[in-house]
Amino acid sequence: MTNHWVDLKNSDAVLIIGGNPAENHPISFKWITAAMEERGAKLIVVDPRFNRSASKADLYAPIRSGTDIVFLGGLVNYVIQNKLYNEEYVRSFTNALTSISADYKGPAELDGYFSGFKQSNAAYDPATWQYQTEKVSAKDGSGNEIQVSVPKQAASLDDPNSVFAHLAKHYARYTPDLVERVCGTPQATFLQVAQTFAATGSADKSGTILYAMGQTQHTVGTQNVRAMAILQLLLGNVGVPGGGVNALRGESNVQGSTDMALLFGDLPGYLGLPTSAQADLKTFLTKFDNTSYWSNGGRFVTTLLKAWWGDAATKENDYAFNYLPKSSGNYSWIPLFEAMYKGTTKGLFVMGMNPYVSGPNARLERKGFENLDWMVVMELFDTETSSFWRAPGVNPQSIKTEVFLLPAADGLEKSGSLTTSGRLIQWRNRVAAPPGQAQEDIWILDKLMKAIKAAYKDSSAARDRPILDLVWNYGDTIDVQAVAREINGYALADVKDASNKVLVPKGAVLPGFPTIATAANYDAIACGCWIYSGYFAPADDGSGVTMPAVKRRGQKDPGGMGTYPFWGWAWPANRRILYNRASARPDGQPWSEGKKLVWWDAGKKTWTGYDVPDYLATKAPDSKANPAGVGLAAQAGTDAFIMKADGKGWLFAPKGLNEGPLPEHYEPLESPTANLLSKLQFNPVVKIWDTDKGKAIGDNVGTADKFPIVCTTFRLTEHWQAGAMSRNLPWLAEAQPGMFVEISKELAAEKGIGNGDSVEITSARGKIRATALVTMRWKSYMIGGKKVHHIGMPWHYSWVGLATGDSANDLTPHVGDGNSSIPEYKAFLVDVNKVG
Amino acid sequence: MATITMPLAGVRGRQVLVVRFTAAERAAHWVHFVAFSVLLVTGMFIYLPWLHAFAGGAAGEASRLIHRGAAVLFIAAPLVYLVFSPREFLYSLKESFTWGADDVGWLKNAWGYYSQGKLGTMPPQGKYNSGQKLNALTQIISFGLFVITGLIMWFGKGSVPSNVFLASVIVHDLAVIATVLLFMLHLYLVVLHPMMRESITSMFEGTVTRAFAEEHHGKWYSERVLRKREEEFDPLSKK
Amino acid sequence: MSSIAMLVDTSKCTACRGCQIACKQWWDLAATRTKQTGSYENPRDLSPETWSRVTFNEYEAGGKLQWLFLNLGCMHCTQAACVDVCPTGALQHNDTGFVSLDREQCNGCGYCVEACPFRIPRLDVVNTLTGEAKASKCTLCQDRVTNGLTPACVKTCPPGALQFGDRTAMLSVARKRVDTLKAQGVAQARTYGETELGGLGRLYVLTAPPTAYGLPEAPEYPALVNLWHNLAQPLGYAGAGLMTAGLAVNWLLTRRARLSNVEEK
Repeated sequence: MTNHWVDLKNSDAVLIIGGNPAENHPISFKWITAAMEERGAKLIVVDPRFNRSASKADLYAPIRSGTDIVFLGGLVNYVIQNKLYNEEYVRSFTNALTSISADYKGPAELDGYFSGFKQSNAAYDPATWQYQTEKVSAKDGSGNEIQVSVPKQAASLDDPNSVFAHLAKHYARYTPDLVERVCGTPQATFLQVAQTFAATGSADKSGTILYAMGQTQHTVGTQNVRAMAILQLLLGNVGVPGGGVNALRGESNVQGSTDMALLFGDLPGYLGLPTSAQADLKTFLTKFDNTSYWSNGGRFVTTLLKAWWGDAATKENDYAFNYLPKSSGNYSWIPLFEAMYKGTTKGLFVMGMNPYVSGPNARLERKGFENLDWMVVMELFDTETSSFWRAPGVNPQSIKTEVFLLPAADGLEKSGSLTTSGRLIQWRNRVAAPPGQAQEDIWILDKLMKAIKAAYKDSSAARDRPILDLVWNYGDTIDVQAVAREINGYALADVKDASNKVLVPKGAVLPGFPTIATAANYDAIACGCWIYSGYFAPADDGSGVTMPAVKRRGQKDPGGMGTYPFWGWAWPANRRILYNRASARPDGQPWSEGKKLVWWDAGKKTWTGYDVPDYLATKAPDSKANPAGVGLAAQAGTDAFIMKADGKGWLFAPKGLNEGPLPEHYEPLESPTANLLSKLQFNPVVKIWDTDKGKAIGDNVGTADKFPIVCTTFRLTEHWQAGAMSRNLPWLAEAQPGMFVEISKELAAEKGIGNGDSVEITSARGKIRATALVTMRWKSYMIGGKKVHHIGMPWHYSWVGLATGDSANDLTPHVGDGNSSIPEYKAFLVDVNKVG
Repeated sequence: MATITMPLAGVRGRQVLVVRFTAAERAAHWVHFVAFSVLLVTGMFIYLPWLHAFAGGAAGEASRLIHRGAAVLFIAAPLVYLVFSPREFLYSLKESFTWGADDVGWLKNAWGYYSQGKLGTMPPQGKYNSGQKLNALTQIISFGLFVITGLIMWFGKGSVPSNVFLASVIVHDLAVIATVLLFMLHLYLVVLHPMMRESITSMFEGTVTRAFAEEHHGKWYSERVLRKREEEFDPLSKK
Repeated sequence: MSSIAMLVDTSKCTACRGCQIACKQWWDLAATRTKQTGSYENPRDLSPETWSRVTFNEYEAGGKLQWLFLNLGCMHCTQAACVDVCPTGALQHNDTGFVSLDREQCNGCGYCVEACPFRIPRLDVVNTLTGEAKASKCTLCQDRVTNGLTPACVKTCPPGALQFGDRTAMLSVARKRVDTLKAQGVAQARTYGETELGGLGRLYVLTAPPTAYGLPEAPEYPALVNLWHNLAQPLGYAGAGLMTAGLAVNWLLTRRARLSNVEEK
C-alpha cells in the first residue's frame, strides 16, 4: 500500500476493484465504514460478482473478469475528457509534460501493438518509448560547467509529444460504450462510478483504490496496477491522506516476506537479484538511477553483502558480490513447476504453503511432485502437499519421492515481527509454546544452516565459500532478536561521516538508512534490509519510554490523521504514507486543511507535519535541480517522487514494463470474445506454455465454443488461501464446509440446476464437482452484443482436513503475467452441468 | 342387569360386611393414588412460582425423573385394573359414564346430606355415588389428556409445532386443576367426613358394612349384592 | 426494559462472521458437522452449540440488490415469554434487563424453546427418556458484561456493526444512523426492537423490511402463553381456593350437626 489501513478513514471515495476486503481483509471495513459514516465517503465496488464488499457499497458495477484495463482506461478517459484531473498536481508532480520520442507509436496507430515489437523473440525494444532529451549546461561537483542531458519538457499539456497528449490519445479509445461492450458494465453504471470517483480530483478531496489478486492474477496484471496508478496520479490522489494505490496483501505477513525477497527476482529491500549478465558489482550497480534516491543503491547492496559475509566481504573482492546467486531465467511459479514436471527439479522445500491446492493447472503441477527425489514440508498440519503420495487415485507404491513433514509452530507460538499491507511492522510475543515436537521456522532453519555449514566445513573449493563464509551468529539456539538486529543494521566498526565524526559506534544498531547514505565508511555497516533500517533501533513511544521502534505501542495521533507514528514502525523511515511530499502543493502548502499531512515550514526551513516527510527534510519547495548533481541534488523542490530518476510520478512508463508504456487491453488467454479494441487478442509478450498439450493432463487451452462460460476464483472470509490452517480449524470448517460454485439464476434456469445441486465444472484442464449456489448476485453479461455467463468459485478446498472439496485450481490455466509471471487464476473458460 | 355377584365377606363387630372392591381394584386405586399424588407434587414445583426453588438444580433433576417415573405408574395403574379385574374394570367404567335422575337428585341434595346429615333425602346410589362417579369421570377424561399431552411434552419436543406444545402445557394444567379439585373433595369426604369413614376402609380391606352399603350404595347393594345373596347364609342372624 | 443494549447495525455488517466464531470461542462451543447445501449460512440454524449466527438474505427492490446480513441471537425482550414460562427461574431478567440463563437451574422442560417468538433458545437433549436437557441461548455474555467487558461478539466485530452500551445511547445511535441512511437514499432504513415486545435488548438498524431478514414484522407474545397466564394459573388458584373454603365450611357444619357413620340397624 502507498498508504495504510487506518488512512482509509481519510478517504472521500473508496474504489475497490479486483479485491474484496470485506471478506478477505475484514478489519479494513473498520476504516472504510468510518470514512463512509464520518465523511460521507462513497464506496464503489467493481467486481464480476456482487460480493460481501459490494453489499456495503453505494455503487456496485459488474465487470467481466479480465477487462479491468478497459474499465480503468475508461475512467482515465472520462477524467481527461471532462478535465477533472488535478492540473497543478499533474503538471508539477507527474511526467505529463515530458516529451516522448517522436518515433513512439501506440496501439491506436498500430492496432494493438506499441512501437518496437520484435516478433522473433516476442518482446519489445523500448527505444521508442523513451523521453526526448535536451542538453543543458550545469556545474558538476568540481564546479566545472558541463553539458548534461535532461528530459525535454513540453510547454503545455496539449503539446502532441507530451506524455499527457499521448495519454489522452491512447485512452480516447476507451469510451463508455467500449466499457459497456467489453466489460459488460452498463454505461449508466460506469458513468456513475466515473462521476463519483473523478470528483476526488478536487484539491480538497481524495480517493483511494483498493485492489488485490483480482487485479494482479491476469496476464495483464502489472498493467492493471499501472492503470490504477495513472488514474490516481491524474486525480492527484497519490501521496495524500485518503488516497493512494493500495495493494491489499493476502496474508498477514506476506508484505514482510516480500520485503525480505520472497520473490524470485529480488534481494531484500527490493535491490533486485543480479543476473548472470552482471558479472561484477560495478556492472550490477549501473541499474540504479543516478538522479534519484536510488543513487544510494550501491551502498545498500554493500551493507547487505557485509551483513551476509562480514569480514569475507571486502572492497577488494567486490564485497563478495560473486557469492550471490545470479539469475539466468524466470524462476517464477509456473516455470518452477514446469521444471518439476519435466523432472529437472529434484528437491522441494515447502514452508507454510500448500501448492497442491494453490497452483494453476494443479493436476499437471501435482504430477511434478512425483518426479522429486525429496520434499520437505514445514507445516502446522498434514496438507495435501505433504500427503500427495497418498492422494485419491495415487498408488503410494509408485511414488519414489521421500517426503519429510516437519511440524512447525503457529504465528502465535513464536515471537517476531509482522508487516502489514500498510508496511507497518509490529512485534509480537509468543503467547503459547508450540505443541509436541513443533518448532519455530527459524529454529528449523538455524539447525538446517548449521548442519549445511558442518557438512561443508572441510571443503576448500572456492564455490563453497558462500556457505562457509556466511555470517551465522544468532546464538546456539537462534534468537529472533539477533536476526532483527541484523535486518535493522549495526556497526561492524565505528561508522563515521566525512568529517570523521562517529555516527554509530561499533556494535550499536543503526538509527536508519540515512546513515548508510551519509556515512563515509558505509562498508563498516551490516544491514540485512535497508528499508527496515531503524525498525529495531531504540525509539521513543511518545510517552518518554524508549524501546526498539517496532515494539512500540504508543497511541498518540498528532493531527488526528491516523498516522499513529509511535505505534510500531513503518518502512521506510517510519513513513506512513509514501510520496507524501505530494500531500502539499508544489509550493509546500497543504492542498487543503482537511488533507493536511506534511508541509514546508518556511520559518524553520524544514518539512514538518503528522507523518515523516518522504523528502529531504530541509529541501525547500523552490529548490532548483542541479542536472549535473548526483542523487536528489539532481531533483528540484517540486520533484515529489524521489525514487524516480526524474522525480516524477509516471503517467507514461518509458521503462520497466514489458508490454508497453501505457496499459492496453488484451483479452485473457481464455476469453469468450474477440478483442473488441484491436486485432491483437492477447498480451504479445506472454509465454503460453504447451507442455503435453492435447493430453489428459497438459497445458491445454480452452475455447469459447466448448467452454462458453467465464469463470473466476475467489476467497472466503472463513478460509485462508489453500486452507492448510483454516480447513483444519473446526469452527471455520463448520462455517464453510465444502466446495461450491456461484451461478446466476439465469444460468441455473438454462442448465436446469437447482440450488444445492451437485454440478460438474469443466475446463480444458480438468473437471471438478461442486455444490451449486444459485444466487441473484451474479447476472449474465452482454459482451459485444452477445450474452455471456459468468460464474465464480472459491479455491480453498481439497481432500485433507475437516472441510474438503474439489480444487478450483484443477481448472485454471498455466499462463502468467507479462511482467511478474503471476498466474492468470482470475479469468478462464469453463462449462457447468448438473451431475446425473 | 348386573350379573356380577359379590360375596358377603364376614363380620366386623356386629356389622355384616360385604365385599365392595376386589384386590385388583384396590391395588389399581392405590397405585393411581400414589402416582397421582407424586405427579401432583412434582408437577406443582414447576406450576407454582413459589415452589420454583424445587424445580431447578438438583431438586429439579430429581423431580423431573420422579415425575416421569410416576407417569409410568400412572399409566400402569388402570392397566393393572384391566388385566386383573377386567369385569369390574368394565363395570366401573360403564358406571362412570352412566348418569340418570338419581344422580341429579344426589347432586341436588349432597350439600344438605353431607353438611347436615339430612338422611333419606339421597336417591339410592350404585357402587359409586354420583360424587365418586364425577371424580372417576374427571379422572378418566383427564387421564387421557394427561397421557396425550404428557407424551407430547416428553417426546414431542422440537418435533411438534410450538402451539401444539404450548397447548399441551395448558391442557395438562387444566386437567390438573379439574382433577385436583375433585381429588380434594374426594379426599375430604373419605378422610375427614364423619359419615364416610368406611369408604376409605373399604379401599384398604375391600369390604364395607352392610349398613354402609345400604345407606350409601343402596342400588348397588340391592341389585348386585342382596339380590343374589338374600337367600344365602346371613352370618349375623346365625349368631 | 433493559438499561443497556446491543446494537446490530446491519448497514455496517460485512458478514465476516467473527461474531459467530467469537461466541463459540468464548463459550467453548463445539463445531458441528455441516454440509455445503448452496448457502453461505452454516450452521444452518441455531443449536445448543451455536448461540449466535449470521444469516444471509438476498433482497431485490427497486432494481437494487441488497445482500442482507443479520446477526441473530437472543433478543432479550422486555416482554419475554421465555422468562414467563420458565418454571425454574433459570431464565430471568437480570439487573440490566437482559434475559439471563442459569443453566444449573434449567430443568430442560423446553417451554422457553416453544414460547420464544424468535425461535432462539435451543434445547440440548442429553436423554429423551429421562428428560435430561439444558436450554441454551445467547446471554449477551453476562459473565463478561458483569466484569466490565463487552460481549465477545461485540468485541470482535471489525466494522463496528455491533455496539454495546446504554440502551438510550444505543437507540440514539440507531436513530441517527437511520436518518443518515435515509438521507443517503436507503428509503427502507429503520430501527427494529425499539418497542417490539416492550423493547428488545438487541436493537437493529435494518436497511430493508424485517421480513427480508427473516424477522417477524411485528413479533407477537405467544397467545398460548397469555392463555396459560390468564386462564390456567388464575383458574387453578381460584378453584383450589373455593374448594378449600367449601370443604372447610362443610366440615364445620358436620361438627355442629354431630354427624357420624351409619350403623347396622
